[in-house]
Amino acid sequence: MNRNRQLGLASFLTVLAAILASFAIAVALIFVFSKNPGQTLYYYFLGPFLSRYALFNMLESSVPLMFTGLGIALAFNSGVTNLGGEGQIFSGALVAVVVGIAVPAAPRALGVLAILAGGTLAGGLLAGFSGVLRRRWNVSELLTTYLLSSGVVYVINYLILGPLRNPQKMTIESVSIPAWFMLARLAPPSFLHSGLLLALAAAGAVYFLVYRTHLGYELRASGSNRQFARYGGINVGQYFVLPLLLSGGLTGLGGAVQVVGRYQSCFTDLTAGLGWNGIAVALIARNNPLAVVPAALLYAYLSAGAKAAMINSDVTFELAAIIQAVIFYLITAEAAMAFFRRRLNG
Amino acid sequence: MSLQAIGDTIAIMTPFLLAATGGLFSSLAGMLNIALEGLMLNSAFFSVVFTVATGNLFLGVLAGVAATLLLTAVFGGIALGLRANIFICGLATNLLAAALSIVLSFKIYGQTGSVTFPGMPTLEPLVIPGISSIPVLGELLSGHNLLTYLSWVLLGAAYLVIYRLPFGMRLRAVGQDPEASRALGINVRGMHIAALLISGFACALGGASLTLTLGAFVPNVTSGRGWIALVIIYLGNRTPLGILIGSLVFGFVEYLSNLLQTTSSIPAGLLLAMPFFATVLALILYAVLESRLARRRAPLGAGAPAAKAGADAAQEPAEGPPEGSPER
Repeated sequence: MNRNRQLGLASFLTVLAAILASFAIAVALIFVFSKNPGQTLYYYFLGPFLSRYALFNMLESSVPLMFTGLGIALAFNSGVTNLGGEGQIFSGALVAVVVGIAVPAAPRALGVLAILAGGTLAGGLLAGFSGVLRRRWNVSELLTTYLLSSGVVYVINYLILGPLRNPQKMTIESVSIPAWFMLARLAPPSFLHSGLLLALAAAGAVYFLVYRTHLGYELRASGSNRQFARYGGINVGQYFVLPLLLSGGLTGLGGAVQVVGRYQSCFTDLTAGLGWNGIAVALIARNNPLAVVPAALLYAYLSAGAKAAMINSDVTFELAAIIQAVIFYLITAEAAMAFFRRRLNG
Repeated sequence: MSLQAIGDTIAIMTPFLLAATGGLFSSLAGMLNIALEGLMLNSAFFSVVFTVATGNLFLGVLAGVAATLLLTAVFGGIALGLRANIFICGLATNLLAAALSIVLSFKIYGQTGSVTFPGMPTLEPLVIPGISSIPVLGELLSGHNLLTYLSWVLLGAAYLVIYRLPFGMRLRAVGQDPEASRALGINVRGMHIAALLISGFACALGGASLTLTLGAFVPNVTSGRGWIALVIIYLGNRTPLGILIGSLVFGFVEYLSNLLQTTSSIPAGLLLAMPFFATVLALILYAVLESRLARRRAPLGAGAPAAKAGADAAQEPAEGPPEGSPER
């Protein structure tokens, strides 16, 4: 077995070990928190597979995770950090709504395209601004992506509660975009929509960009060793702005797809931790854009299981977050990596 | 600005000051501890739970500290022991603390939202006899709660420990050059563990000061204060005095945001965003000022490289995840 193969396998086994450990902890927690652990376990692990409806809804919930996972993986590949996923998804969704209600008479394809472009631009500019701050004044993008995102979340919440609120709805949400802009449902009555195809295409596109183009090569070179890349004649300054622009663009696109594929409007808890989950998805995928697809599916499965357990049994949804934290903790453990490499060496 | 405003600012800055003082230790040891937020939140929850259960504030704070030291041990144990990326482990800790508080709140009180406890003892203002009679100073420095006083004591203690004790010398040495420190016989791993536990302890007090004055637990009650504390450490040049000034500034921003909610027609929802944007603005101003100063200090014609060096030094605390793990 050559060295690269071995590294890849050890890396895969580390991810697998982290996931199995999180499953073990899930079982333990359910025994602690549930009065009826048998039932809770049944729904937690099998709930997403019990009906076509549940299965397709799980697939649907993997769509935004693919977009955020791709966005974060792209940033990590380029050696920048994007902690502002929440705000970028949210602004993508809000701008999608605004564009949708601004061009109600547009032809369908054009309208959808404008909505998606608006969301992408919103997320991209928000993250790209942090890139500009990093490039121009060396202000840590790790801090500014988070801080700007948090501020923007409050602003958008204000807009949804106030100026953009739909007065005809009982629930607190923004006005809705025209129904004919909504993406096609692939398997009604489930929510699965053609945004899934867009997400898969995006994964392919990001993979191609990162691994098959000169730009991608320069991005990765700046990401793995900025000094070295500079000596190699790469203009590393621009590789603070561009990767964040693209990263935020992908997350923002994810927000717009949530609107145009699933919700038709924007509401206060639309992001639901997607920005953070995208980081976990990218880490599980080891920052490989193609691996983001199965990683997002796995993550969607974990959340769907928790939802099924919440509806059919007596645990709260936040149980999923604890289990996700366990994956987060263990996924980068180098001790596990070293252990598996020793084992593979025999 | 009235005396009252300054007094209120001093009270509001307590959680910032405590979290930043704690984070200063991990930062000086060369670790980017982004778990300050989660550590605070953890204690904010547990200190309320145990204060309600025992009816005793002291026991409540003690339990909050104990629970948070435990969480810090998990965080540090995985980051240092299993050599996992400390930045990602920090994110995990924030996620875990938020989820744990809600899951347990549901288990104990049957609620996932805010829980108020009308009869619960809360931290009351203490009047210090000697100081309260001094004209201006008395009004500013007296009449705060015990944890606020404790935050000042801790800041002073931090100064002494960092600059006057061998422990502090070793801590800074480890942060500057772990390899050389190891060669000198310093226990690098031990220093890292100690620094994390100190930051956990201080964050625990900071979290308790949030909810024990409130008499309630609100999900995500820390609302970004741990992150702002990170910025305070960075802007304060990683010195105790800088942290004090930074905490005053951000305490004042929050005071202003609170004040405007009651006195202005600016919607409350927008004012909640203010501290975050103010923090970004402060980061930018600091960076601009620093590059200006660096350019002025540099000899003629050598402006650009000198400015670059200053910027590089300022960048130091931010270690991204891909290369991550500053330890080793």
